Order: sequence, then structure tokens, then C-alpha cells
Amino acid sequence: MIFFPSDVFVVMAAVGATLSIATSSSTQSVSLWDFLTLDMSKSVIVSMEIPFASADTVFRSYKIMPRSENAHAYVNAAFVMQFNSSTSTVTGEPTLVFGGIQAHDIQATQTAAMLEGANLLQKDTLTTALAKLEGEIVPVTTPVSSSAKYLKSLAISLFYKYYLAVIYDHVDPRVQSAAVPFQRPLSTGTQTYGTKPSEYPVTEPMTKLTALLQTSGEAEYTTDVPPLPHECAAAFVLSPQANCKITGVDFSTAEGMPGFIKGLTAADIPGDNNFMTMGTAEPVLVSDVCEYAGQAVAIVVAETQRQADEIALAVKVSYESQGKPLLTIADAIAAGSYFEDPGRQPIEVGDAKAAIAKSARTVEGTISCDSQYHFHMETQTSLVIPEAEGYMVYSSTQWTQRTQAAVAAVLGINNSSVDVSVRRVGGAYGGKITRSHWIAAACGLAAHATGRPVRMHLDIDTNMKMIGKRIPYYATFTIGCTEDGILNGIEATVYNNCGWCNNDNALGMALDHIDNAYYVPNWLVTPKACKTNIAANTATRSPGTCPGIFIMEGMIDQVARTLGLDPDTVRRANLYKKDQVTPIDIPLTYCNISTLWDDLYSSAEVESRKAAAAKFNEENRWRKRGLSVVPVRFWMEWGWAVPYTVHINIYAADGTVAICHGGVEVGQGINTKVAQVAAKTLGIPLDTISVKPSNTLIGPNDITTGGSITSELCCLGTLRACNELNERISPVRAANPKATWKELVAACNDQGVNLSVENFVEEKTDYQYSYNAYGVGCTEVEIDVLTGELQILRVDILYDCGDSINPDIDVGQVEGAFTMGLGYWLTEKLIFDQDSGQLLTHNTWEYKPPASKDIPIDFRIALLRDAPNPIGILGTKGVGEPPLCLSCSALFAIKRAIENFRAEIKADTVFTLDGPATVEITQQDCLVDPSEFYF
Amino acid sequence: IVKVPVDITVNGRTYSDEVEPRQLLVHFIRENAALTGTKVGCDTSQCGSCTVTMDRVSVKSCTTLTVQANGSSITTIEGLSDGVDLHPLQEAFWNNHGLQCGFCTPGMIMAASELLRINPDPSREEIREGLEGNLCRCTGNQNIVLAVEDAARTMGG
Repeated sequence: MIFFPSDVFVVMAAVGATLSIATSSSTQSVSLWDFLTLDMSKSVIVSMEIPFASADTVFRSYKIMPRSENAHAYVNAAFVMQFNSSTSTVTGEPTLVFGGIQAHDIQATQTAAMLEGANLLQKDTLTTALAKLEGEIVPVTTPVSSSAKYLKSLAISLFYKYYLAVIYDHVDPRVQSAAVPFQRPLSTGTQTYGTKPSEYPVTEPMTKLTALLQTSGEAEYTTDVPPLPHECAAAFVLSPQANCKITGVDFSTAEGMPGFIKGLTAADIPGDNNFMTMGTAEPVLVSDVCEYAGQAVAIVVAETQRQADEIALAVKVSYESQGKPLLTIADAIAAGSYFEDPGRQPIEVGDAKAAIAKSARTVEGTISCDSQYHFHMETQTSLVIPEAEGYMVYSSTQWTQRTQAAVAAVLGINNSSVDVSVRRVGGAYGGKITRSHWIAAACGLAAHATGRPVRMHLDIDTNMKMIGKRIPYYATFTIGCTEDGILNGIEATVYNNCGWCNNDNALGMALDHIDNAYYVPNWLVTPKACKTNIAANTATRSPGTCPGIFIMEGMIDQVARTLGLDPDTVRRANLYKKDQVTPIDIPLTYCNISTLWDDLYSSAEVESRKAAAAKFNEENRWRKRGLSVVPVRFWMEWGWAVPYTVHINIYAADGTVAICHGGVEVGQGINTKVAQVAAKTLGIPLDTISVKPSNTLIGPNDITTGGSITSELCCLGTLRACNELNERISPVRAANPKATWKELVAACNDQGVNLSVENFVEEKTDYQYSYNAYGVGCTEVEIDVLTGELQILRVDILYDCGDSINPDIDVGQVEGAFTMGLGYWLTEKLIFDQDSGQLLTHNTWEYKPPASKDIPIDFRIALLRDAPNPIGILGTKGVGEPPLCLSCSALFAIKRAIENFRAEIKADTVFTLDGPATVEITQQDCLVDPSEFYF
Repeated sequence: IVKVPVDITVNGRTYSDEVEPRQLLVHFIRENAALTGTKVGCDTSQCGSCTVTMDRVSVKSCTTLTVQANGSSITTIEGLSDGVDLHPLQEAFWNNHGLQCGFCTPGMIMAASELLRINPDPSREEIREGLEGNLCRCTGNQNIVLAVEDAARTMGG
């Protein structure tokens, strides 16, 4: 059943609009209700007539949705009544229309009839109306809809809001705010940071070098590479069923369709049927056991992308189910389905069991966080061109070298016969580290099979169904602490949902960050990696780190709530102190988290705002505010994240400089930072430097771009390469002290100085050490208890970026990461079909990343001033991921608000709020009971 | 397949071609007119990467049929500047760091151009309203709003 809660229909039906429907021979007028069942063949809507309303008419419409705008409603409603304000009675019968409750909009006719002539100021009018409505609202749900309980509660709450709006002047001031919808005021924001003008252009705030191209439409992404002669396109055929055996792939219908060129299955692969050249083999195309719905079974090649996409849907895949798929961590736990290698040894520090046993207080609980689609605006894309001696591959990838390896392995040819190039990527967020190899390998296969250039640009449905996403986590824990909430020991089991394959399992990183910013002397943490029948989940901005940090935040929050203490106080009291050591033996030599916390607490006026929120909460029954402060300690690890190659040429003809490095420009501004460092080190203007596409000729063995540190490592390579060039140039400079740069390099070239240099950044360098990045974030929210809607009133972030190489870029990273996190914690949710295992939220209709009105109303970003990182490259610190970890402060702020309401209704205030805390979850956790509705 | 003739002016140049009736305008722009500044992001009219103006009114070209644009004048991101100077919006997105990966940028700018045409002096609230059909995953939107405000000031609204 398809639900379409039309906003227009609800409103127009409520006001009694009629439609004029015309055929070639006649015109008729129908009500909207009759229109629902009207046969519209050979008919068109000509006009709509809206009747005038009388002066005593009170009309209100409502729409409650998962994000602030551009989303379909959970429930929408429109109400009309004629209200005699002198007698406070309803004249005639009101119209009460609800959408989202059933397949089509419904009217609450019994409630409307009951209200006719009723005096709204009599308390039993409201009580009777609510009881009538309760009986009339009978939700019909679908697998992607909200629960019947929420839909019903919401419908009743909306009517209550309307009731309050009609008699607004007569109601208790404490409930008045329930009658007024959220009004988003003027948004504001501040961005503060320090710079070092003596170091310019390093530390200079500046926009991206390629911004001009990007704003003029000339910036080329993989899908924009101009089409080649004979180029064709490919699309994947996906399995409709999880946990099944493929018994046949039938191209017979497809073959007759326009543009069809070829259908390919695993049998057509000349090399290995595996796009992961490290770890467990992952098939390009499955031929036998199919693990998940959405797994690729075949490829079709056609003349155009649209033809290929359409043909792919016409390929029939037959299968035998192997049983009900395991989809969630709970499913896997029940079935005992784990990977043998969870990705890390348990963490054992001290004696957690003994420490917990000896503690004055013990706190137990669970916490979980779910998945997230990367939502890169540019979906997975590749173009493979057969050439005389191999293949040229353009790929929207974060990792050129493994893309090359995957194409070569699948085609059974030498790596040296494959060239990979990527100029820029239209959003990546970890989704194009390993998953992009798949698309390139499939394109390579199609290019091999046809001898023609093949491009593949996944449509969003395929991208969402086929490609793994953020790894969900679930933890159970027992904590021993003092009466003051000082943590003595933690015993926890951390589960994650890798999907069917654990190649990109980040459970190790989750455990490495499970302490976040808190000192706990005793630990026992056991990892469990669940194997399920969903796509192999992969890196997603702050993989492992974000869930690890959230689990710790969930645990410490639970401690505070259970002990009846202020969570801020408990968090502050347990923060790491300088020179303490983390559970994985990282010495915190430069730890400044307590100072950051105190600075933010003061600059964000947290204390007074908490008092103001408390006052607001006292004055408002159905609106509640909450604040939460969350710290982050993020371990930046260089060990895994190398090597990177940086190659620099100076062109003697005009003195301009070209740089090619192993990182990939995914929007984070790596090319701009590299150019800034080169300009500073060589002492030349920025506009003489250009940064070239990353490729496998210059960076043959380079690691992926990721982990927040690629920019600084490529800057390091650039710094060293430029220093080497300066050394080579130096004797010529000494002999020609007055030479311009152009004259100087020309002289160097004449004298046989090599103006081309390469630097190889690998771990056995001076920079083999890792460091910690610190930050603190405070979020204040206001929730509408009756609906679960949310406004983020203010966010303050203080982030220690060291000496930012480019504060404009780094502030952008803070804002962008935090906002991506807001989507993760608040609005983005995946739903699977329980039987087929198909992802049901596979496009933008049901999947909702934040839009421009979901961001904080007041967004204040500060980079810590005068804080060079003593062990960082040029004093800087990474910034791409840690601010995302601060965004869970929004979830905890919602929790504060819910707790406040629950305290007011004398319900249990100790509960778990898992991610995502959607509008629905927020309302349901408030335990709204219509019997408490009053005026 | 039946094809129908269309005459569509894109950035001042008229393209006379025969297209499938179901062809989407975005594909006409990217393929027939070979202008790749207009992007396909979500295929479903939600992300706004494909926004262009049709007879000066912004449309999402991924949910507009080419035949609907027959006889009309389309402006894409490539046609926004006068050929000499960037449009103030382009300048503003550049100067205000209103982009990161840049994939949503052409659509954002085109949607904003429509907004500023209708309302030369929009409030931030109106800017957010005007951009509600466009998604950006990288920036957090803050600098995009600042860029449109900046452009509005430059354009003397």
C-alpha cells in the first residue's frame, strides 16, 4: 500500500474545496472526497474552488514531519470550525481532517458531530472530544511508517493543539505555547579563530583554490568527463532477496529492450571475482550464495545510462530462500552469528570486576546507535576506457591505488596496465574508500567485455541498496562508581553490525575510543562483531570513533541519571588530567580537555542558560528545553595512514609549480592547504601553484584519504619536498641574489638543477607519533512534547585545531561534520523489510539528511587560539571527524528535555535514549497521555 | 521509439533536436547541450543539484521533461555570468566558503538566483526558505546562507 499524506489535500478538504474536472465533452464539480475514487482517465483537473469563510471561522493546519522541511508528514491535519467567542460555543459542525493515519485522509466525523454546539470552555467538552477522537483514529501502518501508537497519539495531540488555539485567551498560560507552532527566528552564527600573519599564506583564512571553478559549473567530477566515441553505460542487477541461493539470471526480456548491448554475470569475469584486494573476498557479482538483498548479481551494458538502469530492472533473478535473514544486532545475538575475529582483542586494564564489586554504586544499562547513509551528492561513479596497453580508469574514489588493484585483479591483468585518476570527488565521507573499487571493477569488466569505454553512475536507489553504510553499535555495560559519580571500573560488551562481511569493521577503533575523554582505572571491554544479512557496512565519517565515544557518553550519562546527579558535573569530574594514560596506553602529555571544558562552560554561559531553561520549563507544560555538554578526545593516529607521495615540478619556462599528491580532494580542501604550504615554503605567490588530479603514476602505493589526517600528511610531504627544492636552488640563489623567482628557476635549469622532486611520507619518520585532538560542544534544544518536534536553539563548539593551516576551511569542516552528525542522531534512519531483507528507505522520500532549517538557530564555532600542536605538522591538528562526535550533545540535550517532562508527570526519569532520537522517538519517550490534556 | 522535435534555448544558444518524450531536461542539458555544470544528485527532486531556470523560474531539471521546456529559455550555472564577470552569487559562494565538495553548488546558486530575482533583499529566514529544496552534505549550510546574503547586498537589494 502506498501512503501519500498530501498536504494540499488535507488543507483543501478541510475548507471544503471542490474540483472542476473536465473531459473533452463535459465538466463536473466534485468534492475532494469524491475525487479520491473518481476515474480520471481522459480527464483533467481544470480548477479548484475554495469557499469563503465566515468571520468567526477558526482554521488551523498542522504538519509533523521527520525534519524541518521538504519531508512528507508523519501526520498532517487541518481543522475548521465556526466559533462564537462571546458564548464560547461551536456553531455548526466542525471539519476535522487527518492525513497519514490511513492510505487516504480521514475525517473525524463523530468527534465533529459531538462538538457541534458544544461550549469549549467546559472541561468535559475537551475530555469527551478526546475520547471520541481516540475511538475514531485507527491507524493503518506500513513497514516504513511510524508506529500506530505514535500516529494515534500525534493525531490526538494535534487536535488538542487546535482546541487550545481556538480558546487561546482562556487557557492556562503554561499550556499556551502548545497552541503556537515553532517559529524559527533569524539564524545567527559566529566563527572565531586566531591566525599568524607572519606565516601567511599558512594559517591564512582563505576559500578553496578551485572555488571559482566550482561556482561557475566548470569543475569536473568523474561523471562530467566528456563522453568518448563509442562510450556505453552499465548498471547493476540487484538481488531482491537476502540470504538466498541464486538459481538463475534471465536476460531474455532485457535483450529485447532498446540499447541493450550485453548482460554479464560472474562467469564472464576473466580474473578474480573479488573487488577487495585485501581481507575477505567480496564478489563483484554473486553467482551462488547471496548474502543480502541489494547484492549485485549481474551487470547490464547499454548505449546510455538510462537504458542500462531500465534494463537492469527487467533482468529476472530467481532464487531459493535460505531462511529468514538476520538484519539487526539483536537478530545476530539471538542467532549467535558473530565473526570469529571481532577486529580487536578485548581491553583489559586493572581488574574491572573487582573494582565494580568494591564500588559504592553500580550502574547497569545498554546504549545503541544505528546506521547512516553517506549521502554523498555524487553517487558512486566510474569511467573505464580500454586503451592499447591497458585501461584508463576515472573513479570517484578516496583510494586510487586499491582501485587500480581491484580493476587489475578482476580483469586478471597487471596493475601496471591500469591507470587510475581522480581530480575531485563530489562527497565521500568514507563511502568511497573501499566501496568505490567495486564500481570501478564492474566498469572494467564491462569495458573488457565490450571493448568500449564504459561509464557507471549509480542511481540513488542502487547506491543505497547495494552499498554498505555506517556500522550500527550496541553495548551492554556495568559500571562501578562512587556516590559522587567518580568512575572506578567499567565492564562492557560492544557489539556492532558489520553486515555480511567484516572487511571494513571498525570495532577496534570503537574500543580505542571507548574512554572518550574520561579517566577510568579499570576496564574490561569485549568486542563482538555481528554477521548479518545486510550489505557489508563500511567507513562513514568518524567510523568506530563516533560510536565508541557515544557509548562512553551514554554510559556516563546513565551514571549521572541513576545517581541523581547533574550529568555535566559527573562528566567534568571524570575528565582526563594531563599525563594520565588511556586504556590503550596512550600518554596524554598535552591533555587540555578540562581547560577547554571550563572555557566553553564560561563562554557559552552554560550555567545561566541552564537556569533560564529550568525557568522556561516551569512556565511551559508542553514545551521543554534541555542543554548538554559533551567533550571529545580523538586519537589521531598516523601509523596506519601512510604512505603518501608528494611530487612537485617547477616549470623553468615561467616558474609556475605543479603538485601531485596521494591524497584525494573530496571537498575537505586538501589541495588548497597543500598549495598554501608550498607557496609559503618556496616563497612564491599562491596563484603560481596548481594541484593536479591524484593518480596511480605518482602515488603508486598510497593509502586512502581518510582518518582526518591526510591533509596534514600531504602538507608534510609538500613541506619536505619544497625544502629539498630550496636546498637545490640555494647555491644558485646565493650567486644571483637579485634574481626574480622566474629568473632564478631558469638559471637553475640552465645549470642542470633538478626542479622536480618527490617526497615519500611514511611512518618511520619524525612524525611517527600520534596525538589527540580535543573539543567541547554544548547544544541547547527545545522540544514540543506533544509532537516530538525539535528546535536546536544554540550550539557552541570550542575545538582545538592547533594552528589551523586554513581557518576558513577548518571551520567549514567543524560545521559540516557537526551537521552531518545532527542528521545521524536526529533524522536519518534505515528500515529493512523483515522477510526479504530489502532496504525500504532507499531514496529521498523516506531518508532525511538535515536541510537548511535543521541546523542550529545560533551556531557558534571557535577554534582554540594560540595552541600550536607540539607534535603536529606545522602545529596543526586534524578536524574532519572529531566535531561529528560532539553532535551527540544534541541527543543528550533532548534527553534532558524529556527527563524534565517525565519528572513533571512523575514518570521514571532514568531511561535510555538511543540514536537516532527522531521526532517520533522523542514524543514517545515523553509518555504523553491525553488524559492529562487540560486548559 | 517515437521522438519529438524540440527547440530549446540554453544559455542563449538554441538547440534543435529530436528527443524521447520521456527524456528529462537534466539529460538534455548534460548530453544534448553538453553542459555538465548541472548535476544529478538524488534523481528524485529532493537534493536540488539539478536546479536551472526555465524562462527565469527555477525548476528541478531532474523532474522536468525536455518536452516541457520546448520553446523556452533555460539558464544553467554556465550561463549565469555575463561572460566577463562572475554573477554576484558566484562571487559570494566563492568568497564566503559556501562550498566544500562543490557538487551541490551549481544547484544552490541557481535556486538562489531565483530567490534573489523575486526578492532582492531576503532575510536569512527567507534565504533558508528559498533554499529548502536544496541539500548540502558538506557545509552545514551556514556559509551558504551567508553567501546568498552577501550576494543580495552586492546586487544592491
